[in-house]
Amino acid sequence: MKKLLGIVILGLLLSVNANSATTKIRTGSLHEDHFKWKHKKISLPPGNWETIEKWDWSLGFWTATDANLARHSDNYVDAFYSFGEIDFMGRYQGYIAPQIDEILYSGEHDGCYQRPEYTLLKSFKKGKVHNCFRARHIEVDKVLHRPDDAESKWTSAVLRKWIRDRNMSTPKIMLCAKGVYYAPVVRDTYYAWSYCIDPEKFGATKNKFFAEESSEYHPSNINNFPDKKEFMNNWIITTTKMHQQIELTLKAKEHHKLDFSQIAKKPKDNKIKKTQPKKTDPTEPILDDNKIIAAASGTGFFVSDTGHIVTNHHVIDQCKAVKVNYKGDEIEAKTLAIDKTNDLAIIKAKINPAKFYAVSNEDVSLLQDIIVAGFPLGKKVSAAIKTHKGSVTALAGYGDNYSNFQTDATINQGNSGGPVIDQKGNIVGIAVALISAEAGQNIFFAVKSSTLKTFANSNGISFLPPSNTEKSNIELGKLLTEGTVFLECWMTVAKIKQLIAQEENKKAFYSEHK
Amino acid sequence: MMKKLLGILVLGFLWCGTANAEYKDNCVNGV
Repeated sequence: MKKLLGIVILGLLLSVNANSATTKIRTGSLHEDHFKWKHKKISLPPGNWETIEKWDWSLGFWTATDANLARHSDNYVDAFYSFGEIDFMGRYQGYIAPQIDEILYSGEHDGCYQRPEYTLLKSFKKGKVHNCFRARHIEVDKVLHRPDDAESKWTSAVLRKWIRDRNMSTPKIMLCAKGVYYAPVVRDTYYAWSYCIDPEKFGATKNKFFAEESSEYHPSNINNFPDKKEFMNNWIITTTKMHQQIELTLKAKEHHKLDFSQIAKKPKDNKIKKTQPKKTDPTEPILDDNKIIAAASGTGFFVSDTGHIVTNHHVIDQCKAVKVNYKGDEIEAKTLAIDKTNDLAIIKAKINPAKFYAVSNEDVSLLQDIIVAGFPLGKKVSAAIKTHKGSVTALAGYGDNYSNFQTDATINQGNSGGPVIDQKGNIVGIAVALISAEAGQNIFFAVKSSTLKTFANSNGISFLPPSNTEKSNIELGKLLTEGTVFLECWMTVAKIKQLIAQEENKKAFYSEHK
Repeated sequence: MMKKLLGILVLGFLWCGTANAEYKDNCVNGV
């Protein structure tokens, strides 16, 4: 026993910087593209990286080396990268193996097993061999301070000190990928790596929820946020490739490698990948601020056979041009009248639609069945019109706004300005707003038809009298398809930037602008 | 997690050195 303690104490005394000569990386060193790690070259994601922590440790028979790097500018960290190894040198494997099993598969807070907060887990375990990949979001404060895991708080002490000393700020939510490879048959060294980014810095839409559980990126919530889901999918594609590269670098045996084939196929098969955030590529040309581009989308519907279209004011607000997508053509529309208070607008395009809507003379009643139609999420999901059935759930909108009513028929971004009809095909409302899924489920709002009529009459525009007979679903389908149009708002790049910076804007901006 | 693993391994190793009977099963024999 005395011999053991002697070895341990001696090991601790001799441990510092045992490997620093061979790794070419030290605290404060700057790296780009890659860094040298013993006889290996570890690739780094794009950008300039500063080593914020590098430690070497040796117990005489085990050695450990770990490096943590940060990418930052203007005192803001947008990414972390770490790489580390413990070389067991073939010593005490009988002791090590169950400890690795314990920490990887029975850890209370983290591990190579499916947890609710992991978006993707891939792992291979056979005997003493472990290969593991995880992709997830993290609440940065929780990871730094570990309020629920006090025993591990020391592991982030240097990082916390660096952030404090350098007066750095960090994102509240980051996306992370972590990998582990340990295969004594290849080399008795346990390798671990991780890469975390601020999604907003890489083109993702702004977060509204900042706790691990409530984050838009949590697997329980992400289906309510298609743009976040798309970003997470792209993140997974990028980082699984990194893991495969590390498997190659570490000379992982073929049958130890993780199968990412299903993930790798997605970019080819899934069309929404084409809209993946482009800001990750620093070589991408920067758009001229004066250039006019398609910025946001919404829905509108015909109320005359001469091309009068009703929509929301916020759909056309501040647009350099509003284009109506009709039967494959893009036709520019002019604005005839706006009502900012009630969020309504009437525009006109040179179109003679085959079908147009009549507007109900009566307001909706509680529990009345209604249908919402439009182009939620633009044309990302498909170019086809989407419909949702539901009922009227309140006769007032948010904040006792009696010019609106509440419904449970789903309305998403891009539905704005779309028709809400009854079974007779009459307009009973105009889709206008929603309460986020985090704050409450199935709470959507529409402007009442009486508000629309008052607005239109005041501007000398009248509507077709309402139908008194119920229509079949086939007839309603034809009316919705022919009478509803996809609207696109074109504006300057400078205006897009300005509006996106204003949190209160209601526009359904395309994800690549956010 | 790497630091945590190392911490557990080293602490466990030190603990084994104190020869607590309850934890003897997890310890390395012969050190």
